[in-house]
Amino acid sequence: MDKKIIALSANYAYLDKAETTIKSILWHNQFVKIYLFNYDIPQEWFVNINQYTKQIGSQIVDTKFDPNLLKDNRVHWFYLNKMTYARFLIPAMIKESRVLYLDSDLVVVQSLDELFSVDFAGKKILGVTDYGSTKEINAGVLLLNNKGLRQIPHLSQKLIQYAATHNLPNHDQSVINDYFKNEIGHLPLAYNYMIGLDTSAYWFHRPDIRTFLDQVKNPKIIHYATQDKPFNTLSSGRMRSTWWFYHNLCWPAIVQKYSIFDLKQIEPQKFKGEAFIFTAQAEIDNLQALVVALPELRFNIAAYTEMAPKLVNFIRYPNVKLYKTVIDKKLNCLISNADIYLDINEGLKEEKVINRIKARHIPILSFESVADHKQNYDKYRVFKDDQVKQMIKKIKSIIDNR
Amino acid sequence: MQVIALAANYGYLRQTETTIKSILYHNSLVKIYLLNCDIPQEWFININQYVNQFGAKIVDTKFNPELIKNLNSRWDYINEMAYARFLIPKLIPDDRVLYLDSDLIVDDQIDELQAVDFKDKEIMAVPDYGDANQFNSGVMLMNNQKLKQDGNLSQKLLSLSADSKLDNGDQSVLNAFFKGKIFPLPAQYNYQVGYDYNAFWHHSQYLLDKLNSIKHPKIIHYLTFDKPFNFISHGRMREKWWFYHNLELAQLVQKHTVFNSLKIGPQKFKGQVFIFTRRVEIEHLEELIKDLPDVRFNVAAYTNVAWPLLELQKYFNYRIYPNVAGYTLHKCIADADLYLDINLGAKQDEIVDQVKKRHIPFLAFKDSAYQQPNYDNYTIFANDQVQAMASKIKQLLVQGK
Repeated sequence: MDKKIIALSANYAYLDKAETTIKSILWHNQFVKIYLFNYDIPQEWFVNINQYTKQIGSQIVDTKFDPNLLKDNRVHWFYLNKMTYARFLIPAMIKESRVLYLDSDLVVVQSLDELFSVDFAGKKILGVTDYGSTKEINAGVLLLNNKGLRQIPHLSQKLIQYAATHNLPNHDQSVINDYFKNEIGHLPLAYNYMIGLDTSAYWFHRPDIRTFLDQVKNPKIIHYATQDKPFNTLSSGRMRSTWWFYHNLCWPAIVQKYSIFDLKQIEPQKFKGEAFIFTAQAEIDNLQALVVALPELRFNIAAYTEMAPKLVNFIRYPNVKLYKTVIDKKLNCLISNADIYLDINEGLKEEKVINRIKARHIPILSFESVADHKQNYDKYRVFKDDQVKQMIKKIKSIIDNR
Repeated sequence: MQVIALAANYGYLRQTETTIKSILYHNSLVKIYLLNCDIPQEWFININQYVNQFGAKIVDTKFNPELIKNLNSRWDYINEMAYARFLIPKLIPDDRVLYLDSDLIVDDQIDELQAVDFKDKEIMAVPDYGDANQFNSGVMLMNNQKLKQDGNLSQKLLSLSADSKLDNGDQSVLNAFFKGKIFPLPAQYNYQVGYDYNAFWHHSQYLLDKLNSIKHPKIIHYLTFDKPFNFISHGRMREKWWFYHNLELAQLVQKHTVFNSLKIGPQKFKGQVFIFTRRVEIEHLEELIKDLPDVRFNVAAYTNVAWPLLELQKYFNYRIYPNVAGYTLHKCIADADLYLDINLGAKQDEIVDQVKKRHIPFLAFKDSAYQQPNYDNYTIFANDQVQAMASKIKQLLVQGK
């Protein structure tokens, strides 16, 4: 069965809101793969939540991106931040052909199955008419024809630039409506019930907004747009308790709704062994290939310095642990736990660390172009630069036979 | 019962909840006062539905943010909430209080602190590993009975806190004010693992020796900026923090007793009363709320409301609706079983007229009542007859349903 693909974006400070959205999705939908765009949410959160969601066939993918990508984008409202532009990164970072993007100030209150079989009818994006500015679709719920979008070269980059240079009143929403115009199609109002407009409808005497709200009898997605959020200490709009219902849902209860909850699957991560890399540079040869091929090996990567976003983003893999500006106690620990040292970083090598590894008589593996060819150590093994598969095989045999 | 005090703002709730879970993982009969200005009521109601199952309680201790406004420190990771601990003698009635920071976890039973004999001591704390002349203010066992004897103590401490040159925020104030009156607790009650990073980069053998000398930490304190909840951190024991963070409340209950999921759910009330006000003065409101926990009090206003009406959110049967409008206002009116005409000052006549159309009973005190209510179901009580009104409400809501 194909998983339903959903994308969210949030920074760490907004995590409890995004988690509430996720809980609501999974309370009503099984077999979902959720890409959570972020640059600062700790790995521990992802590891833990996946121990629950995998019991009901769903997955939360840590989709890290470099925040500098959005550095030129601006926002006008205090309750928004640059993360609102992260949805533009979907075509660049998600491969699947149909993606449902959801804001994190909304909750899903029914099954979304129908959305995953809707015909795009040649359109690139489907959305719901914004109840407050009806010429636009609201950008909080977007069904993306990602296959079509990905055919436009550099689309993510173009949208981000468009936003930075035009600085439009409705941010990402204006950009989408401006940019795609006739390629936009419409979804029923129930898929983006903009309850957050409750208070504006009243205070600004907008009977038109009320008409929209009153039309929807059976909402599927409840969107707390505007600043009147249900998670504020106090709020004025309706359906506050709906949000708190999902917020307060306990993960075991969500699993229990579909399956028998297995507490034994909630545990500290287990690895078959630990590989250590000490680096002064972000460039580490074939790191991604190794990390993906060896999920049961823990990769400890340490540096005396800060780390560049390129390296930091490796934390999206649950078997990668990063130790920037590492301190002695930690370093001692990493050296003494290492089963294998990977001398695959470019640039300067830290002689002192490597000497301590050698003193422990554990294997060191390297690639030709980054190897220290003067090494006089009988357990130092150099592979050709394209022999990644061979190195993986070697690592497996070392770990299995240790 | 152990009494513990914490202080946090809404933005720090994830951390505070982790501290709470760690405390209650190892200690069950605990009453935790959480000093705050802005944490939503829903959070308190929910967590209590879990922890009450094994005898613990989290008390929503709201205080006026004006009390600590503009207090600051030279460290950007310490904000004005750090000074909230000085409000303990003012806000907490219990004789013995253990104050804990929210960047720490409790990793063991700590009920022996209940038995420590204060004799004449006012405060017990652990010396700061980084400065042996100071006590660290993150863990304080407070002889609150003695501290409360000075009725102005909280105010005095807050006045001293206004000094912007304080080297170490609340900790400097504490050590200066109580100089010679703080007595040591064993170092394991405040294991300052946050110094890991400083110790290494500043080559402090003293700190390293100190950290190494403590074998069985009971309370682990992630002080300095190097926090385990940061995206990436440097010090040890990060995984311990995340263990408590990731602990589900149902599992926490299960540690002490059989978890009963039927106790988790929306609140239930015998009935709802409605008040629409234009002023903060509402006669005997707090007494009625306390007296009638089974009755939900909905208080609404067209405007923002002053602190006293916000503070009452600490009672789970009270809900304030500032800037009320549209659908929410209609719902308040439609859900009302009773209207309490107990707000002083001018009335919002058109709202009162809408309520009257529902033919529900009105109760008022003499000073708050309409001169001519023009409504046949309108009962007026003498100003001091709070009990009589409470009984009447009980009677109406039980009988009327």
